[in-house]
Amino acid sequence: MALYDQYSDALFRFMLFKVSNRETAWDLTQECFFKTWQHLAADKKAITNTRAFLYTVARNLVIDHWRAKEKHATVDIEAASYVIDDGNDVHHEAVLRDEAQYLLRLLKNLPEESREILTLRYTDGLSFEEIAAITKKSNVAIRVHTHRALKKLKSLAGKKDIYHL
Amino acid sequence: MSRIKKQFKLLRSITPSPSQKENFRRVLQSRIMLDSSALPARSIFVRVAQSMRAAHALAFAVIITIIASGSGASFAAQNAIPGETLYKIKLATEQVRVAVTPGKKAKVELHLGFASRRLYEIEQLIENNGNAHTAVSEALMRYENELDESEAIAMQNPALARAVAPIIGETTESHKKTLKRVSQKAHTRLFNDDFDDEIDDAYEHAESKDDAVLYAALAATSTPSAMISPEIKEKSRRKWESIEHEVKKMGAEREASVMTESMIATGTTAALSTAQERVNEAKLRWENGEYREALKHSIEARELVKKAEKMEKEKRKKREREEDKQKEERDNENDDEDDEDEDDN
Repeated sequence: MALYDQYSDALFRFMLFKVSNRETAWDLTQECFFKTWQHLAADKKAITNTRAFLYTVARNLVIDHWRAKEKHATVDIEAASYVIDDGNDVHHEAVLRDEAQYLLRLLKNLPEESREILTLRYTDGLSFEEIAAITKKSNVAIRVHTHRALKKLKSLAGKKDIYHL
Repeated sequence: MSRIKKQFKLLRSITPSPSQKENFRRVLQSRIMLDSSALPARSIFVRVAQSMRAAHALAFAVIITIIASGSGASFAAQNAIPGETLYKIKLATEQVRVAVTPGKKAKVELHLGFASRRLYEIEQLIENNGNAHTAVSEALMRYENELDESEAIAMQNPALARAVAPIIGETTESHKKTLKRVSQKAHTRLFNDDFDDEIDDAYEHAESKDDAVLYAALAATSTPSAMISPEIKEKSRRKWESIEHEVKKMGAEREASVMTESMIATGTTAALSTAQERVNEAKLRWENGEYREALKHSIEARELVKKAEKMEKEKRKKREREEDKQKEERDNENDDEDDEDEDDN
């Protein structure tokens, strides 16, 4: 249960950014924990990095979900920002919401792969090694990709009207 | 740290609702407990759940989740169709709902509801995907299983059968309409008749379950006719009426068409004639207040009509195959003649 308490938020977010629907994201998150538990119950030692394993299961579930839908969801991650809730401080909440929405608008202009890598790295704090394991790429490739994606994001942020990028 | 990197951290405030998290936590905890009997009891929930049978523990947790999720947070899994990742969850949730629902009548209603879901899924499959033959066949099988389950519960005693017979009747009636629509959709969207036989079987299944439960409802022959509900009396009447309509319709179709004697399947005329006799007997019995006997004759008449329909269908298919074969042979002969002409030239 410790795994669930620690990673359910992050995995839900991961799913939400991929499927753009809170209910589907939560269903997939649940499925992810069920599957992970099945693996753990079968052979706990087979999993060396639990966090990377969880994200790998999550990623495969999303791929299966997309395949079943026969189309790639049009990801509108900005729509997810409405759920941001930061307590009763209305002003603080509004600032947070604005900041997060600003970033989500920027992210919409990046390819799916870049969004995934940047959020795994900077929102959920995964190491390059973990991201490489999840995405099945080399460590170096992930570092380079992250660097370029971040640079692109900063360049987008420098433009005045991000609504019409 | 740059501003953008700080903004990435803000996205951490996007989370599932606390109630969703808590509900699934219980479900997962129960699942882990079921799989691992060595897990020590640490909370009231776990202690209570451990005292329950294994299946009920998970059922209990899932039902809490369903109830607690509230009206605005229904599971997306409930809209899943066969082949989708979430479909297994949907089926598992249904099993749990049946397990924890008290009352046999309520269980029958649940199974009927799930049967309706299977039909809806089949419609979706046909609309969305032309290559869903296996999934459609499986869903049709599941549909029939749900009807079997509802019948098995209803047949446990005549009083229960009487209580649920009108519900089963109405539901299967609606299912039959849906199955007809599904069959039409399969023709127009997929341009083939691959599902015809399976849909016919499902249709027949729906009708036979309705008959069986109604018959069980009338099982107590000693029951005075005044004790039998007006719905069941009416249902019994509608039964022979609808079969009579079918017999007449088949007869009229034969007269209207230019079917020669060789085109009519052997035995169908006799089957239809006997069916009409059974219907007449059913009418008579019904007028005398012998509802169970009336129904028995109606069921026999329906079986004869179905038998006649099947024989006609097989005969028609055989004729079509022969015609196709003859056409193919003619085409081949024409091709050979064309080849010879070309060689001559």
